Amino acid sequence: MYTILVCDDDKDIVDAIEIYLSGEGYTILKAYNGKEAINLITNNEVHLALMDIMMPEMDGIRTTMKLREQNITLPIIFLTAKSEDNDKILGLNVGGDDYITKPFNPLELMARVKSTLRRYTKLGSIVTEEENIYSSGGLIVNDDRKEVYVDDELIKLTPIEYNLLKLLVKNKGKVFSINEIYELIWNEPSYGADNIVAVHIRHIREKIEINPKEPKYLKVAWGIGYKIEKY
Amino acid sequence: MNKIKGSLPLKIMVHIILFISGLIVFVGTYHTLKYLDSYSVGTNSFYETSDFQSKYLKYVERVAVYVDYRERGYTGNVSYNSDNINLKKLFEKEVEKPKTPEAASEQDNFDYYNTILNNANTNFIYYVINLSTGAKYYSPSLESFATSIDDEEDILASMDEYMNKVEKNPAYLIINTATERYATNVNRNYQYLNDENLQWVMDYIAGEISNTFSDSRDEYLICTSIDIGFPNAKDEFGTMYTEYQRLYSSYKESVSQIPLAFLFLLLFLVVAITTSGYKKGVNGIHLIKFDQLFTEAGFFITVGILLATSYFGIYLKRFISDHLHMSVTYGLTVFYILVYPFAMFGFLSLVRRLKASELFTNSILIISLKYLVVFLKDFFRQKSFTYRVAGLLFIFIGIQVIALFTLYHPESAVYNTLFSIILTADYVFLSMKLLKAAIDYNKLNDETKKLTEGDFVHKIPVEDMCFPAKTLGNYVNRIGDGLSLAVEEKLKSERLKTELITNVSHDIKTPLTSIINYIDLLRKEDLKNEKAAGYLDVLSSKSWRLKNLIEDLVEVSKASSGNITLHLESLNIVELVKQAMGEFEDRFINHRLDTIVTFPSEPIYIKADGRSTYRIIENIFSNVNKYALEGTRVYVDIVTDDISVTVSVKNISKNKLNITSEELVERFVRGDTSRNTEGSGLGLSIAQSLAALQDAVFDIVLDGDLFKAVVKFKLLTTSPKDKV
Repeated sequence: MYTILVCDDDKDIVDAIEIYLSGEGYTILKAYNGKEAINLITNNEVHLALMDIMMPEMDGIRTTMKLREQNITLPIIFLTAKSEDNDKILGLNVGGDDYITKPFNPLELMARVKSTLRRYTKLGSIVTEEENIYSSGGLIVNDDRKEVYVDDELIKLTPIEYNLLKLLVKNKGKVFSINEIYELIWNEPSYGADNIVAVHIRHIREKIEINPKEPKYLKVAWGIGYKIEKY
Repeated sequence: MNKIKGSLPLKIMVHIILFISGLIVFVGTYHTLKYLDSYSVGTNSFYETSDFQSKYLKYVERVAVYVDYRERGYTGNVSYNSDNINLKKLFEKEVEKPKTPEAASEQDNFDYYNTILNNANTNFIYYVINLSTGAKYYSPSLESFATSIDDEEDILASMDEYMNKVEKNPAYLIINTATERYATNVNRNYQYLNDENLQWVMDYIAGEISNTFSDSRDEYLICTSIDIGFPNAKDEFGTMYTEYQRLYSSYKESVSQIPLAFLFLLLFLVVAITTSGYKKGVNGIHLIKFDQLFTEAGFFITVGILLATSYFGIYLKRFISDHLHMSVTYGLTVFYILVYPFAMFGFLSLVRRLKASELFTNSILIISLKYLVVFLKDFFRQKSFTYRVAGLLFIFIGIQVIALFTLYHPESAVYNTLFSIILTADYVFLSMKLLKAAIDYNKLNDETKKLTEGDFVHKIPVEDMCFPAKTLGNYVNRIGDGLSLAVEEKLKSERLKTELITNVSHDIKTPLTSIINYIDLLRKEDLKNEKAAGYLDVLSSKSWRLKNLIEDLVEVSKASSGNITLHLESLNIVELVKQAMGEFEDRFINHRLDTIVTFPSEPIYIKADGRSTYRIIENIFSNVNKYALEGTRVYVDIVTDDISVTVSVKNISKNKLNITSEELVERFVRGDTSRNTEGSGLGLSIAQSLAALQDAVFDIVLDGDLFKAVVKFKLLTTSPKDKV
């Protein structure tokens, strides 16, 4: 099984995470500051690190930067009380793979750990012989099979939801307005006063996102439209 | 009491009585004064008057002069031709006194008086006997009596008879020059019939004054008297008597009437004064328009009208008594009627002003005096400045005076030029000073304005200003310093507060994470106790609520302190509201809330930050979701005009809204009954702060159970160029 490093200066939190993750069959290494984390990572085979940001000796950001400098590419998920946008951006920029704010939902934590691990271990192993495959990060739309996978997990979608998602993934990064989506999917002119598109989007999000309130793939540009984030 | 005071019939009655008693007092006073002006106070009959006594002496003197003339001829300056004198002829016609003394000769006067003396129907009777020669001179009315007496015996006998008769007369005077004694019943209060004057009569009749050359001296018996009852009303005594009687009777009448009338006048004047100013149905003193004029103005108007009518009245009175020959009383009454209303009106106006305590407060004089007092007080209180101005004026005037002195010197071109130069320099000096002050003032005005516009760091350049602008400028600068410091402090403290809240929230979140995690772990343990599981559910939900509270707290703190980075871009507000509605649709359906939308079909663009704007709408919808009555409709409208777009959301509240809309957006305030439900209570406050940050207006209207949230954005006039 995989080995996961949990690094946090709060011992109780580390212990709690250990209980959750070992229940799932992972091997846990525990560190209480950045230096210990680097030691453990360099001396052991570690498949994923859960990293607090605010820690004594060496904080999570600097630890991550050090590791990346040494070309250590293991996935790092930040687990921190700092919930500001700037903190998240900084964390992802220095080489973090995901960002979870405290206090966290244990289920979400585990979902993210699983998803990250799958992506890290299986990326590139997907057979891309078939042509009609569109993807963004862990989100894959196989148009031949009419299947959608998120981190290798099959997602069940209704036909309209599937078409809608396909449209967005095909044009990932591009923002579609409600009217455009309606006209392209339903093939009839939109006369406004209808939030059916918005409702479908939410449903898709609930299905493909770990935390629908903080979507990773299907993002809302408020007042403009919707898009699939380009990874 | 006020009802009686304000009663109209009472007022009318009072004024009628006042008018009548005033008239009586006025006319009576006139008569009394007229009488007292002509005669002295104690005089009770015509014979006691000085007029009568002097006139009587005059006539006695005339008798002496007349007798002297008869005995010795005319001794005056004018030559007297006895042939010319025809007494009878003179008596036949009305004789008139020569009018202009200058034109009249002494002869004419002499003739006139002799004629008067010997008038047949005269009130003054004389009888003179030359005791030496027996010659007799007498009034025409005594002719029968005089001719019946011939000898000396008869004379003496007749004298007794005469005396008996004459004693009944109101006035008589008998002089015997031989004994130099006289008898009279005429009052001698005024010293007309004194020894000296009578001695002159005796001397004159004896010829000792006009004919000094005469050796012998005849003795005379002179009898004079006034006829009983003044048979001739037209001669001097007659007219004087009639006039006296007339005045006397008026006087007597007046004296009896005046006290009572005066009493009435005083009494009802008091009543009029007490009742004046009260009006039925009006509380307090009722002032008519006239009373509200300045006291002086009212006074002058009254006096002016009074004078005008007086002038007119006096003219009318003269006309009535002189030309219409009507009684003086009539004339006076007309005069009184004309003048009385104005006098009474003016007087009562003053009374009303006094009652309303406006007599002095409404007086220009008093007001001016007060202003003067205030001015003088200020002048001395503000002496640091007023003394300077006064000093400046003194210098100016002083130089003017000096300049004028140069003109006293003999006129020459040099002095005239000097005068002009000094004068010009003086005016330039004053003008410069005044203009400098005006410039300083205007500078202060402009510079202070910059400060009021929010530029607290701005400094007024006071270097080249003069007192007092300079000191004022310095003060304003200091105020500016204080303000900018205060603003800085405020910003700093807001920032620190937000920082503090953010840091504290981090510190809370860490233990909270443990709490949440271990509660979760505990729930997974195999607990045999059902109660314990229930307790854990409560702990779990409350710990998550605590997390939400902390996050909202951080957000409200940031939003209200403006500590949020806004990414302003062109947004379609219609799209945004639709997106938001999509997020809430399922939750609304769960609460059986039916949404009715009214959106424009065209996109409406605003310049705003997408996430913050969504936060505003989200908070409104979240509020609706929590507090709307289940099974009701929710109205979502987007309305635009030329400059703005308004998003309004209306719903029916589940609970009674016993709170104002202002209180509702206050931090941590919610409708009382919803205290224990989910949410932090900060949603509306956050929405308001976020709206304010984006130059939008967030408002809440409560009407009964109707809850209405309104957000008004400014419309983006230029359509977005990057239309996606």
